[in-house]
Amino acid sequence: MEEREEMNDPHEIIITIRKDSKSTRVVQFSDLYALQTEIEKMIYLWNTNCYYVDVVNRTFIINGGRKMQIEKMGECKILYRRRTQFEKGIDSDDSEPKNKKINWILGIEEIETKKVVFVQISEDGRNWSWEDKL
Amino acid sequence: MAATVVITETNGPQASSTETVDPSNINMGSVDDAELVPATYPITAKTDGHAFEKWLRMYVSAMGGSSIIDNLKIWLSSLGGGWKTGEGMSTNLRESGYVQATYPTAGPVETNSPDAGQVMPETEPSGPNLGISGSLGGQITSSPAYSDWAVLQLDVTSSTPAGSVNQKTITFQYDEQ
Repeated sequence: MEEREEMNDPHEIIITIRKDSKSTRVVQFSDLYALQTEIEKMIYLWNTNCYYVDVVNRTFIINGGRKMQIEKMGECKILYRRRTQFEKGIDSDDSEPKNKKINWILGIEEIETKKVVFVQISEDGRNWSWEDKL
Repeated sequence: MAATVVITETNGPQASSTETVDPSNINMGSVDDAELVPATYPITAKTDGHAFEKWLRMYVSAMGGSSIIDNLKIWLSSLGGGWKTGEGMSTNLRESGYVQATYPTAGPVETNSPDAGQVMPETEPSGPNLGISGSLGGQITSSPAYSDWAVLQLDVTSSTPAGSVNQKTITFQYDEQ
């Protein structure tokens, strides 16, 4: 996973409500998880390097602040993934459960070329990164 | 609701094998058992020394509303204090040239594993390194279901010092759609 260097703030996910650009908030994981059934469409904005995520009753911009080196996409479909990691100890007498981490991934795929861009967001909503494919 | 995915470890000859679901650890040693105590079953330092192989699978007991589980990755995410002299880990996990392993008729071996010919990755692989139905691009679409076998083996040499090796952590990862 490549951590991009040009993000506005690598430690927060800032969502700007489209209808009121002055209003921003930090998204928590529970909000993002709930988006799965509510997203109507997701559009990459080529000029501003942002995602428009159209949600029932509200429209969000997920602002990456990153100039992405990919070609302009045509018709896209939305992809969702939930990425889970869990750990086990080796050569350990510790039988306590190890960490379990969940990342939420939103993506778009151009239907014609299958080019994919993903936004990966950590469970606590404090770390996020881009990747051009899985 | 998320899928329920755990690790299983299988031990013993194929005809009488036993499966441990969600073992608390995958300790390696000189006995073919799950959740073994390393101090009781130490690995002898010698030329071409090995622990018994570990034969593991990722097991999906419930899809939890997901339609696809794929992109399986396994790697050593922490070496604790690092490798001791002559210590290392071999595996069948690989991102290219993948070959599905078949559980051995006689069970896991304590000699050099014929299935674990790769070096265990110590960083997250860029792509899946464990297959489903023989393919790295395979998908699980219903439960219950297993991944392919992941074979791990701890290796030592005659130079490996006496005493405990460092405790390590292995990470298992999967995606749900």
